[in-house]
Amino acid sequence: MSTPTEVLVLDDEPLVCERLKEHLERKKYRVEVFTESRKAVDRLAQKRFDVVITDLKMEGPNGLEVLRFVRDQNFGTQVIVITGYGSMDSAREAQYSGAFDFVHKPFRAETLEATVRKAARTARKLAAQGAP
Amino acid sequence: MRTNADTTEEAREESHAGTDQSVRAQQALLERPELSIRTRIIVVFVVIFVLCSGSTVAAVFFLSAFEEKIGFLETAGAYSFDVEEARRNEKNYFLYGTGLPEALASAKLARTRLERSADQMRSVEGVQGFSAMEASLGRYVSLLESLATADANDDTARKRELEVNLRTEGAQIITEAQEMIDRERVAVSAMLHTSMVGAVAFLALMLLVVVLFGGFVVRAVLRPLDRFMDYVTRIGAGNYEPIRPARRYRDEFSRLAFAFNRMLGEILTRQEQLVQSGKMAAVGTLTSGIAHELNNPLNNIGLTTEALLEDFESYTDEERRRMLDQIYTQVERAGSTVKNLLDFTRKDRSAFTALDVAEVAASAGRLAGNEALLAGVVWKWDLDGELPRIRGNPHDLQQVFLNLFLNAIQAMPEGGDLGVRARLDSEGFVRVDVTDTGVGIQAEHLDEIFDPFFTTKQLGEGTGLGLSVSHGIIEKHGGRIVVESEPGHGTTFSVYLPTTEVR
Repeated sequence: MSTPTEVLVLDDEPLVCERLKEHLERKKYRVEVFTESRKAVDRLAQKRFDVVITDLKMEGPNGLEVLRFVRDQNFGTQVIVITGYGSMDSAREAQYSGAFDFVHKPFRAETLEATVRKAARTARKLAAQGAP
Repeated sequence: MRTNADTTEEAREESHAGTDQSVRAQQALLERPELSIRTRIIVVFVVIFVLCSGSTVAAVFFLSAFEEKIGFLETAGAYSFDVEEARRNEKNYFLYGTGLPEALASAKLARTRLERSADQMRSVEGVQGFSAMEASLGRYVSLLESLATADANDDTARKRELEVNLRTEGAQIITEAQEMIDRERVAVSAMLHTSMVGAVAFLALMLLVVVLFGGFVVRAVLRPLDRFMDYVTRIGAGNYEPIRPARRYRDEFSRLAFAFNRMLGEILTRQEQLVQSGKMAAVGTLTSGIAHELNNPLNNIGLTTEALLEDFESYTDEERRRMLDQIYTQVERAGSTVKNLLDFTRKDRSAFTALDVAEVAASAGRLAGNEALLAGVVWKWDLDGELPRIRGNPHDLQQVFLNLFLNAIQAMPEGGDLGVRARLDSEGFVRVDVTDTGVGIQAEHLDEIFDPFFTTKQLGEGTGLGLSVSHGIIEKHGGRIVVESEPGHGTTFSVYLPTTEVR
């Protein structure tokens, strides 16, 4: 693992961002956090990330819109969707839209990190195969 | 600043106000003297019966008097005939010399008739009149007897003398008999006239009784019926004020009013139950929002606790203290969500306090906040901060606004704007408009949306209680709720609440 995995965390809960940033940086990920989805989308347009962790329901562009934006970029970036709502319709929609995984709150940082690791592996493989 | 105890005391006082009012109305209904419709109808029929009996007795009495009169008239006719017969024979005797015994016989027969019916004659003609008649007839008979003696003696001079006297007395008794018959005829015809007048008078009296009875029926039965129609209309419109006494006496309608008041009490109890069901239904709709509201702080607590447990050593004391602070804040956040929910579902009997409608609407907005977020609905708040306070039940009003907000959110599945605007209108009402940019309501449904259990939502999405319960709550506050909708463009519900004292 020569270059560190790039992770973008988007959640309107500042504490989620803070804890995930701490945890993932301790595990040697390079992490950027956003509490506003508009700013996160702007950043995604500028920079390629391996993994995007996004909350589903937010003001501004919601998790699904972020997911579609990332898919459309076609950089092999994997999206993990987290949500506090137990709405299964949104979960199914997220998976159909090509999310790597779907995580319900409350979750453990360690469990999420394991998912991020797997997602990062997939993202690198895809990037190596055919990314421009 | 008011203490908590004051508020509770006041609330308790006011919560009993409704019950007291009802108890007072019931007592007032019972305290009046009783004069039942049944008693009054019995009295009227007794009066009619007495009148009819009286008239029957009078008629029987009258007819028997009439019969007696007719009988007397017959006697008088026979007497008159005998007297005339005597006079005819008397004349024959003077003209042809025959008929004197027959004249005497007829005159004696007339006297016998007079004597036989002496009592009757005396009562009808009077003692004096009868005595005069008896005397005239007696004189006539004795003159005839004298003539018979003179005839036997062949005393011509005596006969001439007697003839003059006989003519005078004869004319006298004929006149008297004739006068008696004429008088009796007049009396009979007067009796007939009286009987006709009596019949007409009785008819008029009966008419009067019937008119009075009709008036009584109108007063005692039809007017209360009209009043009860008004009560039913009023109750149907949602005004559950108890019926108060309208008249001085207690009757069957008072019992009906009493039963009505008891029914109103039952309706109020049921309505409270309905309000509670409405609250529970609203809570059901809120579930996913509440899950989110609780899952977020729980997640924050979990993540922070996990970080402390795994990497305790790597944090400085200051960082640990800050993280524990964060945990505490999140616990408070979850606690306040649960408290809000319990506050909302708490049952409280119509405790009216002074409140700020804008504040109540804002608190309902916080409860529905996550639902809006979930549906991609953007709030557009426009609340006048200087609104006068109104008197009302904050929990019930919160429920009204929550219902309106949840309906608005459900009307915008693809997201939209949810406007909440609060202003004081020119009539002294606080007016809150809840406007959505959703699917709108079909014109044919606008009349029905406040009916209980009316819903266009799928099974499990709505009970059809929300708006009917809201309508009831707003009416209880002396306000009104109106709706305007344009299918495809959106709907505005306007709630008007009076700023003056409400019951």
